[in-house]
Amino acid sequence: MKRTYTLIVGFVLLSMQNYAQQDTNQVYPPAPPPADNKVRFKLSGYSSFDFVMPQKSNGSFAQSTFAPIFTWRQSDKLFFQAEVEYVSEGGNYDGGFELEFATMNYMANKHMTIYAGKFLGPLGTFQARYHPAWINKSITRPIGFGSQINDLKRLEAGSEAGAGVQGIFQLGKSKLTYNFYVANGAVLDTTTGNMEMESLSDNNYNKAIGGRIALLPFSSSSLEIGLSGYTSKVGDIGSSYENLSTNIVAVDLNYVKHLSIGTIDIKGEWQRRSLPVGTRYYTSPSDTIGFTYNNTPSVMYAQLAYRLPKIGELKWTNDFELVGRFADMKVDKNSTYGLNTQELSVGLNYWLNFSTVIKAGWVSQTFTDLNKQSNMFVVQAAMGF
Amino acid sequence: MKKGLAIITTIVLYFIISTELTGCKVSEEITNKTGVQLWSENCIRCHNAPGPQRYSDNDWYVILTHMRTVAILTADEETKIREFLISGN
Repeated sequence: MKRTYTLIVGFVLLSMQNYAQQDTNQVYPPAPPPADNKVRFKLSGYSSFDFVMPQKSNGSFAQSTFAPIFTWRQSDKLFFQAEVEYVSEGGNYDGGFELEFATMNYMANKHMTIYAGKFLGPLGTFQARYHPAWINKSITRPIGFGSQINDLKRLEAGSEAGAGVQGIFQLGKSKLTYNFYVANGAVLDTTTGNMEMESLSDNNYNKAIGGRIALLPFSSSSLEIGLSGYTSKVGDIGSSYENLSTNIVAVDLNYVKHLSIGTIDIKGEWQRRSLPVGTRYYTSPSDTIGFTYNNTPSVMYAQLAYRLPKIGELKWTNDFELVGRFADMKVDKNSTYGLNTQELSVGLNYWLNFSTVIKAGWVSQTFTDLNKQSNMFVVQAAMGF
Repeated sequence: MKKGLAIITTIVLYFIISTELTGCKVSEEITNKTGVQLWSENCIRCHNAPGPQRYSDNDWYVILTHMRTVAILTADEETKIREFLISGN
């Protein structure tokens, strides 16, 4: 396994080295003969690292992320893309590789693409679009959307194995986009009530169905409002949980507009997951005492970013961006996900170029059940390539 | 299971047929949009818009293929944005 990792890393580093040399020797290489349509491969992706300093404590260089994306264009209609994410976190360097997505895509017509493989589920937009550090304008991921708080990293799967179809309806000046899929579905852990969302084997005869519909009402596509849903049976065949289903609903909003006073970027999302267990109990193997709870956690975030305009001759002012975000996670009493948590973050971003940013900011988490607060100062450098 | 597959097949066929027909309903304002317009409107929905010279012409071919699925662009939008980026290189 280590040998495989070494080969992959070596290949990626060699590819990056080749790219870096091109970038250094010539500002931008002369354009090769274009439009021959024969170039098929592109290595892109992103990387980031964090410095975290909790209040009244010493700081640490914390999580580092390296996530190359491979895109192979087999023909005009068929292509493959995959992202491998390596994260070092939790006090050691061996966070491990994770296959974020690996999909075969077929462009069925001008408005529709069919895909299969492991993909980022389109429940809401944060995980599917905004989670790369150079795209996420805040210094951390929101709680319940990938930022690990208590025991709940995110409500939805993140990525799932299955197949789907996505596309666009052009309705006059507006757009309606859709993305529907089937996947193996979630698997219930009957000892805790938690769910394994990224299962590679189906534990029952039911496939999960999910999808998102979004409306972009303005011709400029500046506003996007999305509605997502997901349903899946979660119990093992033959168990008392066999017919138990979980449902997830999500609403998201995105508004980005260039104005003379700067660029306004508003993003938000709300997700709720329900697993109506009725009279069933979860039983911890350590104490064999049954317990139950409603199992309806919900998470939300709302974010506002404001990028300054060029002011007169001062072009550098356009490199700065202010970001504020509020996030909230609600869990049920007795839930194994832990505590109700609210999070407020404010930050200042400095853009070195379109995809390289240094972010600095303050994150404050309030655990409302305990009336306790945790504050930290975070610096993050992120680069898309 | 067979019922589920039948439903999925019906949905897929419905979207193939309806998206083939949907071109008739596009307004003139949309069809007349230039590549630079589409580039500035669509890229910033998620991230800063990269300049044409950021990547080589051939890179843009593959990048736009990837972005077509991430940003859910039509083939016409993809072509116009790519032509703008290549023409500005």
